[in-house]
Amino acid sequence: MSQVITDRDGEFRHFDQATFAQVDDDIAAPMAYIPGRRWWIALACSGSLMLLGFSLMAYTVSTGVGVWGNNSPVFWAFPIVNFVFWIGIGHAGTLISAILFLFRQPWRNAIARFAEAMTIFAVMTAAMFPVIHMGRPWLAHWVFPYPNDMSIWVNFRSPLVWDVFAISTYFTVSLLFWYVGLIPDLAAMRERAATKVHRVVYSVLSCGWTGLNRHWRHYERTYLILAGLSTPLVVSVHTIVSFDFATSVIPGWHTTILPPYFVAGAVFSGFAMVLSVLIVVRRLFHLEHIVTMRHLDHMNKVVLATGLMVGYAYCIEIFTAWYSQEDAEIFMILNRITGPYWWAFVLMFSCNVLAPQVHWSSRARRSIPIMFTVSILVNIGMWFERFVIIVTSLHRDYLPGSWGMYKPTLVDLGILAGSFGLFFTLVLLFVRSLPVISMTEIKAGLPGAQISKHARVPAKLPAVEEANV
Amino acid sequence: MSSIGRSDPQGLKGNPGADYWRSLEELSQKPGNESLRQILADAGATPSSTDLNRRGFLAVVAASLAAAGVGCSRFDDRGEIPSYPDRLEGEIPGVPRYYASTLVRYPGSLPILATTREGRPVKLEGNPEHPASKGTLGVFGQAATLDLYDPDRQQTPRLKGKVISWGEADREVRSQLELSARAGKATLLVTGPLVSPTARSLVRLFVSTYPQTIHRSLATFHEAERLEGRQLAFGTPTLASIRWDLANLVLSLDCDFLGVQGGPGDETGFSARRRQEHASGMNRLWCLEAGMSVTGANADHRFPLRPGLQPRFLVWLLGELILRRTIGPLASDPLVRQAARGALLNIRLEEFGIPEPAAKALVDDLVKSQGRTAIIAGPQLPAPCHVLVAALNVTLGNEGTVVIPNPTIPGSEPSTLREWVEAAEMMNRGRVGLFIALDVNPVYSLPEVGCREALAKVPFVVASSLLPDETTGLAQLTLPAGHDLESWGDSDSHPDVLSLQQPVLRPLFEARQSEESLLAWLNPPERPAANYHEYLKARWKNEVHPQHGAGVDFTQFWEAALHDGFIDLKTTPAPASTLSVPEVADALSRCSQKVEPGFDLTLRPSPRLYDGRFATNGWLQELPHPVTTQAWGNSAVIAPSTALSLGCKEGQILTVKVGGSAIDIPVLVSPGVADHSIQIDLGYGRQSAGTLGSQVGVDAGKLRSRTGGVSAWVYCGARLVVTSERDRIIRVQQHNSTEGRSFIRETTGESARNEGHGAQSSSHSQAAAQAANWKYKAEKWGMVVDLSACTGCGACTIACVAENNIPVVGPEEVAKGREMHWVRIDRYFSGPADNPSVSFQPMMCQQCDNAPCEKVCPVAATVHSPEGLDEMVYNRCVGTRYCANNCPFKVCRFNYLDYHKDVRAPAELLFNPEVTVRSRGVMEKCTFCVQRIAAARQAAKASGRKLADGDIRTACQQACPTGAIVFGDLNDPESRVHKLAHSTRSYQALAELGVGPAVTYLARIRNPHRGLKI
Repeated sequence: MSQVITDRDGEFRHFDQATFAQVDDDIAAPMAYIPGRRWWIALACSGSLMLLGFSLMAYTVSTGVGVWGNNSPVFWAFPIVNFVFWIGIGHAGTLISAILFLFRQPWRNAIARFAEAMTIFAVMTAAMFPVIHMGRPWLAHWVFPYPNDMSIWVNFRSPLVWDVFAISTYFTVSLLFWYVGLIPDLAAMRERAATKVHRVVYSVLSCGWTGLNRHWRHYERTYLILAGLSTPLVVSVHTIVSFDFATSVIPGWHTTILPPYFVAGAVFSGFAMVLSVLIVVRRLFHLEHIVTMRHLDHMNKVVLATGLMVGYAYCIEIFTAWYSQEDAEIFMILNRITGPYWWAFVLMFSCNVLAPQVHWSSRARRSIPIMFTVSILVNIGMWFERFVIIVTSLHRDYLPGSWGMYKPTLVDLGILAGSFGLFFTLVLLFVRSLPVISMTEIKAGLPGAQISKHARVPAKLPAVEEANV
Repeated sequence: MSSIGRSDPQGLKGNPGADYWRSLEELSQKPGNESLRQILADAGATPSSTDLNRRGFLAVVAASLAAAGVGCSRFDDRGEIPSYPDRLEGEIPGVPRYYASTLVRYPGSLPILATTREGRPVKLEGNPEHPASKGTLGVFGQAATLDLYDPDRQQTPRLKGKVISWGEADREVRSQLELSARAGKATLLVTGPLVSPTARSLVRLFVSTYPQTIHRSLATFHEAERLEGRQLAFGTPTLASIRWDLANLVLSLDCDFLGVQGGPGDETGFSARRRQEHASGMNRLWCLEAGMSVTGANADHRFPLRPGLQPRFLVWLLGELILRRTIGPLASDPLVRQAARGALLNIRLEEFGIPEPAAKALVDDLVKSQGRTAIIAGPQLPAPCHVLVAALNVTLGNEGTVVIPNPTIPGSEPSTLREWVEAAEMMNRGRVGLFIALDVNPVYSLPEVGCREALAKVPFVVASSLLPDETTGLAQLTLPAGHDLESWGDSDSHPDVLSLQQPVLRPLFEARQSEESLLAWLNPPERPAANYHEYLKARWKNEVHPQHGAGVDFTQFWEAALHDGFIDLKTTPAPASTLSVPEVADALSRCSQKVEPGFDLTLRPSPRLYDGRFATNGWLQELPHPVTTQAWGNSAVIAPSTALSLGCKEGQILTVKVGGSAIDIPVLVSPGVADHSIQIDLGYGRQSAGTLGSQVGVDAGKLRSRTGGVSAWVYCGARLVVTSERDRIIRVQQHNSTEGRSFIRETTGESARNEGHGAQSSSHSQAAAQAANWKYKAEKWGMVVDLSACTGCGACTIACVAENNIPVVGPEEVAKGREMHWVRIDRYFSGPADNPSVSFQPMMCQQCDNAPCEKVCPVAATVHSPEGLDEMVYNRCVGTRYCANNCPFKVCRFNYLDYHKDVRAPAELLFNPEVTVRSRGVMEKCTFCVQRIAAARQAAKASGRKLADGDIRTACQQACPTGAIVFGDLNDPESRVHKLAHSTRSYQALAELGVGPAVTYLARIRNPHRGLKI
């Protein structure tokens, strides 16, 4: 299997014979030379989108959120859809780096750094939305419980306050986790630095790492602790985001299934997004021997599994509505499926439930075009899932006299595009400035790396196993 | 700006306005002071400078603020307008003062009580003492303050666009009057219908002074057909008013008496009998109408009937009563019997689409309630119909008992179409030398006589109006007229009272009421008084006081009248008159004519803009139509079946052709409209109605013609052409059905009487139990809304807008669904689409005990008060909009943009200082008028007593013409609100959610005929 790919790419190297230096060379390669034209084109595209998004956000803040399509009764729309979507994207990173780490799943090593970085970028992108979504974003700090001379406290009953804590914790822990994991690699980069500027920057960032035994011991303890801290966050963040909806009284929101449903959906969309980006990156930077077909296969299995969970949630929502025999609940489900936004429901259901079903076939799981298509479809479907939950629940709730329709404006679409611009700009900058794959962890898997039984990773790197097949 | 000669008011009274001057500006306007004028102009302090520089702007703002500040007149009227800094005894800054006055309107003036803050009126209420309104005030009255502070108001007299002084303007008019007299040409003086006796006497004086003057009064909607009908039937010119307290049964033939075709007392009077508690029981309303009106929506039995068939229905009904049931004096009259038989030859019940049992039930009802019935027909129906209505009322013995004839006052009715045609002819032939329009807009209002073209033939046109309009656009001399709140006047439009109008602030800008101008145009020898105030007072002294002021001297009498806003006046009752039998016979044959093929078009007064005069008023433009819920525009309203047969959808442009004229107008499909019938509201499509009102909607007045119509408003044989174009229709409510949910509850009078109707549900008590977790120690504010009394008129919404500084957001924002009304009226249809039942539900913040909005706000900007209010802290709100999402009633409103940004001077003077003006990004909602609660509490505390039930009235409650809203303390078992909230009809909307609303609805009672389903 891998043979086919390596033949096509013509870049295969035998990693079991690779030296530590070769690993470093391969992974650090993208940072060593002036980027090629394709990178610049990609950066220009995503950078323009990002700037478009930023200028539209500036326009929003200076004029008012009335430049969006939000209205009464759809008080939340695109920005919150985007927020939940991006927060969800981040979940794959934490799941891969923390939970799979704790479960000793060595195949994660090749993709963990990348997924973590995507988590950070996704959370950064997501975190913008609650701020610009406010009517008076210049007062955003009021949602923090800080001591003030008026002695006004935040409302701890509000799920939005929980959100503030959940997301800031999530971001902080993810960033620390990512950064701590980067330290040995940064030191390696320092050693390789060609210019003084590079050396100084990497020196500062690597915190004086010299590879002493003490350093390694502290590093591994810290990494383990942070992995332990991150693990509950995988569950808690999207659970709390789902509380924004689940604790309300609105039909379609007021459901106890929302927390697990949101977490499954988040992992689902996160894996899809990691897949979409990784497929491109591994191709562009010739990392097929590190991020192998087996990795992708595993990820596709996760996509399939979480897709089934999400599908179950969709079905159980319909069942619950019928079982409740509440007029408003039944109407809500019927309105989702047959109402004016039926197409959003169809899009959601077919992208999220039907499309991943191809992954029952191992051939599909190992076909780049198929998995790429599915991952993109899942991304689209998961965005629409949030649209369905938010917009179609709000636009028709209890009193038909207040019902309305929602239509996004160009500003809404521009900010959505801008959020992708921001995310991909950060990704592009990341791949040029930091090792996208953990050199340390790859090297730890090389033969001879482990001199004794060690608490960290198993001796054998699965990527190598596969390459030997 | 200080007031005139405060030290010597008596001397001033003797010699008012002689050589006194109030300011350098005024002095500079006097002849001989040109140099001073120049100096002031150089300094930029002339308020009339056209291109406003900074200093000029500041001067105008300062002047208007000062003008507003000095405005209030004392009820004991010293004949001067005092300066606010030297304030009157008892005047405390921050404490509102109230003045009784009148908005002089035709056909019915609106008695008001104006709330003034620091000298500026900010809110109008009905005058509670006045018998006509009993303290309520509908949408038009509530919205009047917005016109007062309209930034588009004309500010100075202008001659051909050039700013001139009033002195120059008056000289110009006088010289034009002489010029036209010398040239042997007529002067056409056009006013609105003169409901003011003093204005009538002034116009008479003007006409006698300038004998070449022809006076015409103009109204788009008037009572001419009714008047003619009653004149024919009884031989005397009378109009009927209804004793609603006696009317057990009301049959309305396309008369929207609960809506725009009713006076201030009709809604109140009718709805008093909508309650089962009433001693004489609940009344029953039968309604046959072409469109779906507020009246039809409130009917117990309603049937759609196209206008072409309406006269025939009257024939059928009269025939049924006198031939079949042989009731009344006409039953034995051979002439009428013969005419009825002849007329009935080609009339079948089936053609009306009314099921036979229903028709039989109607006749049974009428026969049963003889002498206790009111039959009324819309003023748009032709005179013969009103003859038949009179015959029906006589037959059933209602005339004189329930239907009370009131003699019309000579000169108070508008000129007839024939008179207008003659006037237009004179103008076209060049025989009119001077055209003076006072507070009317004939160019827009008189399309059928070609007023625009005719005016071009008149050498000099003078237009005095509050706001620029189509007529001022064609006038050489435009004059800023005073607003009702800046004017003196009186009105005898209501029987048995003479209402008095007093200014509550000094005119803004250089405005001057039109009567004052008319007086000023009399040459000094003929001028009976120095100003209109003196003139009015003199007339009251000489004519009113001797008759009605027995025992008191005039000063006391006058001051009492100013204080009360009216005096009682016994109008001489109409002489008893007998029905003219030949006229009835004639009307029978005229009404039995065949229906013309094609569509029947009815041009309606808009329930929001009336005849177009309110097109400049943003509050009214934005207030949704009560039945179609359309805002910011009008449409051709047709039945779903008509839409189906035409193959058109809502929003599609329809070409409506009547005779030679045609308009393009978007379609609105509304259930309940009669087939083959199109309803279009007049008053839209104004060409020049300021920044807000121009080009909003379509001017259906273009379809009016002199001859083509059944009356001025009803045209049969209209043709419709569906085009492929579309236009946006802004409907505030998009969904018409309750989806079978129980937030609206209804019952019939019958079942309510027999078994209590069980509106109380178990969920109600569940919510109550939940609420009981918290004990409200002192007051617990609550509200009761009686769905049986609510007619859906919208007065509460406008009152709330005026009280709470709610912004006008404009058509774009309303189209997006961002209207800001704190209380909206939801309208639902049920039953068959061709004739549905209509239900209204006023929906405001329910001030839940267990409020979903409070729980979710991250910054605690909505918090629960110890008295049960969900308090919204605007300053704390960061605008997450979570509260609005989580509100099951969707009553939170969000400032998506800075909606107050475009408020231009002097409109900011209108803001209620007790209510924060919200910035953008902030949520807002109903507060149960918390500022009124606070004010009442302070007043009670100051006078050392406890708050009593009824001390606090919310703005919506105070305005409601039918008393459907009751507010008070739910903790007080003796309070009205407590009793009503615990009555058998009470229920809470969405109580099943356990949110514990503090608003209780009373289930609507319908009172259908026993044998009929509704």
